Amino acid sequence: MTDFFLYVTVVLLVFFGLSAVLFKRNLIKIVIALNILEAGVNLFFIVLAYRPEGTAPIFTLAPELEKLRMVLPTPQALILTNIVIGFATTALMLVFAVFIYRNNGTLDIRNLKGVEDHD
Amino acid sequence: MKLASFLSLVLITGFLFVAINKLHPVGAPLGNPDVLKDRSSAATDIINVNTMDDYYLRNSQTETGSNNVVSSIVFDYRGFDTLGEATVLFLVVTSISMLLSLLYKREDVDDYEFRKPNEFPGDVSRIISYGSYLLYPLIITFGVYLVIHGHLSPGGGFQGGAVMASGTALLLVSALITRHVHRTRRIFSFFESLGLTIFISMGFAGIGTTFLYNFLANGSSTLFGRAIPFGPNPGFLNSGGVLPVLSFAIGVEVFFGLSIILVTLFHVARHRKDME
Amino acid sequence: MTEHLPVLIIAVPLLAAFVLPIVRILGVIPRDIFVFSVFIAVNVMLMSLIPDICIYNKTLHYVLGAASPSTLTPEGLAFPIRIVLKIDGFSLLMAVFSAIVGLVGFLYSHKFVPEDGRKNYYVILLLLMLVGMIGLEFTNDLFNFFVFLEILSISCAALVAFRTNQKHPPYAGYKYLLVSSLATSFFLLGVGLCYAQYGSFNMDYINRMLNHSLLDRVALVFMIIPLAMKAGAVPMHMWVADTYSEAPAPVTAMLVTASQASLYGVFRLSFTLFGNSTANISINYHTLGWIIIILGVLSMFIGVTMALVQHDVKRLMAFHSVSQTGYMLLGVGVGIAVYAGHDGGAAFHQYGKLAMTGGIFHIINNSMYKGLLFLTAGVMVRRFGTANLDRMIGMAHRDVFTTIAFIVGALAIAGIPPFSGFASKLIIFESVYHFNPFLSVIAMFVSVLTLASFLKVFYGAFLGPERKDLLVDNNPLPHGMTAGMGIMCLFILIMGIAPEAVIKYLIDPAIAGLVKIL
Repeated sequence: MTDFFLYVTVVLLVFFGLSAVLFKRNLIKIVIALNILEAGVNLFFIVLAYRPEGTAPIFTLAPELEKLRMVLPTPQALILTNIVIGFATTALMLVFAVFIYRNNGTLDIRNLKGVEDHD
Repeated sequence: MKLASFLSLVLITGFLFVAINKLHPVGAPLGNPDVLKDRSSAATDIINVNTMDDYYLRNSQTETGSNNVVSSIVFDYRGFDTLGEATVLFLVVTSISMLLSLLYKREDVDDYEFRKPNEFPGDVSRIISYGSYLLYPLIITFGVYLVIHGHLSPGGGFQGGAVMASGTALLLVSALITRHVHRTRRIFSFFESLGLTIFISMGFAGIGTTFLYNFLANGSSTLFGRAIPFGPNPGFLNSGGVLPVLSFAIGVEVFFGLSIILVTLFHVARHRKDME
Repeated sequence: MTEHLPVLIIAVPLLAAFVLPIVRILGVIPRDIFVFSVFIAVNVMLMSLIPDICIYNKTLHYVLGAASPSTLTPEGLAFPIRIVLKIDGFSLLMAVFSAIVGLVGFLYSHKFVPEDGRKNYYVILLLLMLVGMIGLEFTNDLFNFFVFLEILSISCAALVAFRTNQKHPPYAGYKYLLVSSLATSFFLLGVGLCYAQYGSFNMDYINRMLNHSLLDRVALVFMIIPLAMKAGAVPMHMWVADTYSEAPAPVTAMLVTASQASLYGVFRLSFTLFGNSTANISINYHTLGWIIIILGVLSMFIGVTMALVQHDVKRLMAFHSVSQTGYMLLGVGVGIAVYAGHDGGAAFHQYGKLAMTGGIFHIINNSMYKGLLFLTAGVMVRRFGTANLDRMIGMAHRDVFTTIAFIVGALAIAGIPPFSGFASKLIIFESVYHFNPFLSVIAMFVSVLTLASFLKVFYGAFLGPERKDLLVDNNPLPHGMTAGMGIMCLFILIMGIAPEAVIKYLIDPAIAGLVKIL
């Protein structure tokens, strides 16, 4: 049953993130929603790596080999990468939001619709 | 439009539910719990593993000399991904500098002075600013510890660099240093480039065999080459081959990269506030 | 040194981008010479791979960090443990044309982008965009593919918003980055689903182990749809017009190629990762093919009808790229639909392979003539200070070379001989006619509409009396811009005059890299 809940959390995070991206009108809130979505994806990898009673995959001062059980290392390495990428994307999107606000005076996409018509 | 969004939302969630019903239960077949048992006295035992993760758990210590399996994956087995990830950070720093350079005025360049802790206007209480100056060396020390022990304990270049950059964030919000952005940014971006150049040069240095080859591992023990047998041990700083070097390079890059982002964004926020 | 070429092609421009802030200290001219030689070096390295891969049909592998570049797995193991770069005909073809467009983009930007403090950052981003494209075309590792996709989309987004002080570009960049990060997040979910089953990220290994379960199909959906979204196929085309029209002209030319890199991902995944021609097929290729065909036909039709009503020259061309994407999807979709059918591949050999030839030929054609058209649009906007077609007239008096370049590009996109678009469109029409005559008729109809729409631009902007008062910039064109357009024209002419040679030496090896039942 625990298994199921872990996976359902992933789906819920993705669901909330995606629905906020699709239905929220504020550019900053969309960025936050994207972060929630990314958290869902990251959690998915971490759940895949989980082993019952596993320790971190580090041998420094670990228990003796007979009792040793480690979680899978690869997803953690990937998530490390994905977190940095997510941070970078967030920073860039926030900078865009700064400029959109400076140039248009609003962060609401309903008011930005006029952007599409040129002179 | 709304209907289309709703439809896609329902479809994607539905697909995900289908997927999780078919996925294996948590912790089940991926990877083999028996793999860690020291079955042979030989140093390498690569045959009796079923998945990539088992291989890493069983052999990374003898191959790379690093106790931390995650670090050995990040910097050795999948070092190319890490290069790409460092590139993404560099890319974002470059983009932010490019986009925001329009906002800076020329006079910012000459106005170069540190504010002393006791010279603050009413914005920040003195206790907070003195406290942050006290805390800053501790944060940096902890970050450096994480970076240089990346191959032995949890941590590594990214985590250590991020911890150090949090020190920058602390100084910004508590000491309000906003005056010398241009020069800071130039110095920081030099060090950021330097970190990345060290990383990619280590890649080129291994090109006698392959790009990003761990040519220092299991070599001379003064140059991080100490051979580590399989199994728990107290941890030796001079092991890990090129891992500590790459970790250091990434630590430098992440610290200065994140600091540039923080300083620039903070400057924009302050700039606006000062104008109002 | 030859065995290290695959990684050098990626690592050299990367190193150049990293040291560029230091090279800038030496001055502007050394910087430009340095970057130019890097672009040339990448092109030369890629060209030097052509004989091996395209004529002798070799596949190059490069294992990063292993004891030797070609040991895919350690002795006794069934699966690779490191990142593997793999170059076959298709990846090389795409990479060669990405590099050419990258070189053209850099040349064109020489005087086009003013030399203020931002030019240096701009050049770094161009280099990294090239790295992103070539990297994702070379890699054989799913997660590595994701990383390069991120590099590509972030550099594109920043370049789209280059003219930050204007009203629209930041919003266009925001839109592009939003679409890209949604796409890459879902792509990563798909990668996770693959990893959960096979414990590996290597495409060839997963393809060998594939059991075509339901989970695989979900993973396929999560990986293909985001890439189609990034390639700008209908129903996910809404970002294309904004992004393409707000970016500086050389960046737009490279964005076309970047979209095609995503399209490369669609084909690579549906053949190399999920393709299986020997076992009993559980992934229904017929359905997958028809889905791609329908997407293609919709893209063709909606793109061209939206383009007809535009008054902004760059938006008009942007909608035409949606429409051209449709042709490629149509061609390759027909190939997929008959791939490994119940008739043992007879239909595939009869016309499916030809359809794929047309589709892939159209990809490289499009990156050339679409890039050229966007470059000429850059000249128009530079001359008149606006992208509005109603305010342009009589360009042909002032810019003879640009006019010729525009005519070459417009005739190529409309499929008039002897330009390159004719060859690929003819192949698509012919082979699709065997599959379903109705589709072929639609494709021809769209082609006529394309010609009509570009005639409108030609009459509006190039013909007519010369109006000096409308020009905001009357200086002669910088040589870099002329050279960029010249290179593009040259390639269009070569590919139009000798399509058989291009198909024999470039396209056929590409198909051999994708399809295994030949």
